[in-house]
Amino acid sequence: MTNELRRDPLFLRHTVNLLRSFWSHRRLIWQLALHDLRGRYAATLVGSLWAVVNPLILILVFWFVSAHGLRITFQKGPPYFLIVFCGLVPWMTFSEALNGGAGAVLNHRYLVKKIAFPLEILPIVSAISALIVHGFLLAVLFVILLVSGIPLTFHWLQMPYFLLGMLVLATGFSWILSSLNVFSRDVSHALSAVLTIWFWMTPILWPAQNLSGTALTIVRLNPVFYVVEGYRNALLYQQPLSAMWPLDVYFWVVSVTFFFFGALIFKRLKPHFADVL
Amino acid sequence: MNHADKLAIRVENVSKKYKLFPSNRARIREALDPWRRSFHHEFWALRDINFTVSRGHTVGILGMNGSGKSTLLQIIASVLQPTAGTVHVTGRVAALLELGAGFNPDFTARENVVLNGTIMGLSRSEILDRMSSIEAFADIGEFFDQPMKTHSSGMFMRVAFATAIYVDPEVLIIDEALSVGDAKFQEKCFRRFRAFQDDGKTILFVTHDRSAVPRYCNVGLVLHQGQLVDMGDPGDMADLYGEVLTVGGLTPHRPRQSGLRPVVDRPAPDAVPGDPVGDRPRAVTSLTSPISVKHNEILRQFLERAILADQCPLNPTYNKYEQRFGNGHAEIIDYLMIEADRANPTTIAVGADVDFYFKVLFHRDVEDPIIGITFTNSEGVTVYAVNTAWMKETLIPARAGDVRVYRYRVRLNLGIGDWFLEPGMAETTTDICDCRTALAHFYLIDRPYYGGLAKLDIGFSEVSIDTQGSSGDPHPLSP
Repeated sequence: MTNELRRDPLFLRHTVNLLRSFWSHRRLIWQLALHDLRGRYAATLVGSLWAVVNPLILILVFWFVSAHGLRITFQKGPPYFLIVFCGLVPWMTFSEALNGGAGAVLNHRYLVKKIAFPLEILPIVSAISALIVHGFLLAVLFVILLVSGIPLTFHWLQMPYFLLGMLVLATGFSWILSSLNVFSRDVSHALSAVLTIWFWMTPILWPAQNLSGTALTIVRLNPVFYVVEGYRNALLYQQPLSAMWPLDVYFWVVSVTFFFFGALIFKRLKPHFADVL
Repeated sequence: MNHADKLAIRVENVSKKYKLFPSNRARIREALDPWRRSFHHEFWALRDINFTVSRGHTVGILGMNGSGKSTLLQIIASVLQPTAGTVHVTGRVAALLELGAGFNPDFTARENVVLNGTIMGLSRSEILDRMSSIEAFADIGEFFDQPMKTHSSGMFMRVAFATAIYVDPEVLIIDEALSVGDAKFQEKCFRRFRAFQDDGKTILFVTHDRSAVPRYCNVGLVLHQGQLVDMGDPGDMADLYGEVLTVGGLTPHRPRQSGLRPVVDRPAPDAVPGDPVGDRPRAVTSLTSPISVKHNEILRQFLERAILADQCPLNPTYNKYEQRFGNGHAEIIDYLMIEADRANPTTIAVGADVDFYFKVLFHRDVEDPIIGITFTNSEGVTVYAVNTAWMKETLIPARAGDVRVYRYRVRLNLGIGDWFLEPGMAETTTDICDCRTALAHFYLIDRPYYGGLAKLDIGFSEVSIDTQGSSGDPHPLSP
C-alpha cells in the first residue's frame, strides 16, 4: 500500500483510469446490464416484469402491515403510504445493487477466465441493472405522487443528485463484496443478514422523528438514511438540499472513502480471480 | 512500410511467475497485507521469452503440457500480465483460449455473439451486419437460437470460432480449441486460415499435432519448461519438438543450431576400420549385416545385467504411460535398441536399421514361446505387427526360471513422427504372457518433409503434353 501511495497519492490516477474505463466500455456495461436482467428472468413468461412487480407487491405488504397492523404514524403531512413508498424505492435499489454486486464476479465467471475483459466494470453492471429497475419503480412512484396531488416542484430536480450518491456508495460496497465473495461465499450469506439489520435500522417504515438524542445521531450516521431522507425531502416534503446540512459532507466523505477503498481492494484482488474460480 | 510496421507481435524479455498459495486465506492476506509481506511459493511458467512475429505469418507453437504455451498465449492476448517484460501487439486480437470463455451458457448463441462482439469493441449494428455470416460459418442449424448450455462442445467451438473470425481481428490466437471440431470443420477452419494469411493477418496457434505445423505454418516455435527452445522453419521445429518429447528433459538455454540434436548419419566413432556398419552408407546396410565391435560391447553390457526384475523404466526410450497385460507366465524384463552403434536412441532417421533386443524371464514352463512386436503411432494405430509364429520361427522351449534374449532387426520405413513399440510374449497366439503396449517411444526424422504413416519410394516429374516434340524424357515417371 505504501508503494502505491507514493506513486499515486489519493489513488487519483487509479480512479481516473477507472472512470475512463467505465466510459470507454459504456456500451458493454449497458449490454451486460440488460443481459443481467434478462438472465435473471430467463425462464419466465412475463420476464423482466417480475423485476418491477415483486418490489411493488413488497411495498404494498409493508405499507399494509405497518399502517394497519403496527399502526405506525408519521406526524408530518403526506399519506403514510407515500412516505413508505418513497423510502422503499431507494432502499430496494440499494439492496438490489449490493446483492447483485456481491455476485457480480461470481455470476460472470465466464468472463473472468481466459478472456481479456475489463473486470472492474462488473460491479457497475449490477448497479446499472438495479438502476434500470429503479427507473420503472420511480415511474410508478411519480404517477402515484401526482395522482395523490403532491405538487410537482423544482425540488424534484434533486433526485439525480441523491441517485448519484447512492450509486457511488453502492459501487464502493460492490467492489469490496464482489471481490471478497470470490474467495469465500460467506460474504453473500453474511450480506443478507446485514441487509436485514440495515433495513430495520434505517427509518424507512418508521419515522425518524420518533428518535432523539444518541439514537437519532446513530441513525443519522447511516449513509442510507441520507439517501432515503433525501428522496422524501425532494419528492414529498419539498425541502431544499440544504435541509440536511451538514449531513451532506458526512455522506460524501463516507461514500467517496468506500469508493476509493473498494476500488483499491478490487484492484488488489483482481489478479487472483481467475486462479480461484 | 518500414520494418516496425510489419511486425504484428513483439515479445521482449517476457517472464511470468505464478504465485502458488497454500490456501485462499493466504492469497487474501498477501493481496491486502499493508506491509506487503508474502505468503506464496513461486513458480516460473515463462522465463525471458523474446521473439517477434511478422504480419501475415502463421506461427505454430509446440511444447509439452506445462511448457508455458497457454501462459504465453494468454499474455499475448492480454488476459494475463507478464511479471516482467513487454508485449506489443498491433491491431485487434481475437483469442480462443478456452472453450466457453466469454460465453454465457444460459444465453443463445445469437445473444452470445452480440455480447462477445461488444467485448471485442464492435457496435451492435456492426455485429448484426455480420450475424448471418457468423451463423452460416458456425453451421449448427437451429441450435444457434438455443441456450449454449444445450450445445455440444463441438457446437460451442464452432460458434466461438465463427465469432472470432468475423470480428475481423488483426491477430488470431487459438489454443488447442480446434481439436474438438470434427475433421470437416477443422478443414474448413484451416481453409479460413489460408484466407486470413492472404489478407496479411497473423495467426498464433498451439497444437499437439506436429504434422499440422509444417502443413499450415510459416514459423514454428518450441517451448520447453517455460523457455523458448527455438523458433524457425516449421519442419525443423516439428523435429525438435519430437526430440523434446522423447528425451523429456532438454537442457535449458539451448543455443540456436547447437549440436544437441543427435547426428544420425555420422559413422560409428568406435567402428573398426573397414567394418561394414561403420563404412557403408546405411541405406544399403543389409538386415543380416555383421555386428560391429561397438554394437557387441553395448549388447554384452545388456546381457550381463543380471537383475531379474523389470529394468525397462531405466531405458531412455521408456514410455511411462505404457500399458501392460498378460497372464504373467513370462515377463519382458528388459529391452535394448541399437541403431548405428547408438544404444537406445530417441531420435532415429527414417529407413535406419534398428536392432531390438528383449530379455524375457520365464516363470512357468512354456513349450512353444512366441514373441511379437508391434509399431503404433501416437493415435494407437497399428502400422506393423509381426510375431515369430507368423514368421514360422520355432523357439526353444523354456523352463521356469529361464532368462532368454530375443532380437528383432527392423528397417524403419515408417513416416516422420512419434512411434511406439509394443513387444509381446505369448504361449500361443491367443494366450499372452506379457504384452507391454507403447513400451518404448522414439521419434523418426527425415528430410525433405513428407506426411503420413509410411515412407514410400517416390518419384516425380511433369509430363509433357506436347506429343509432337517428344524429345523430352522418355520415362517421365521413373524416379
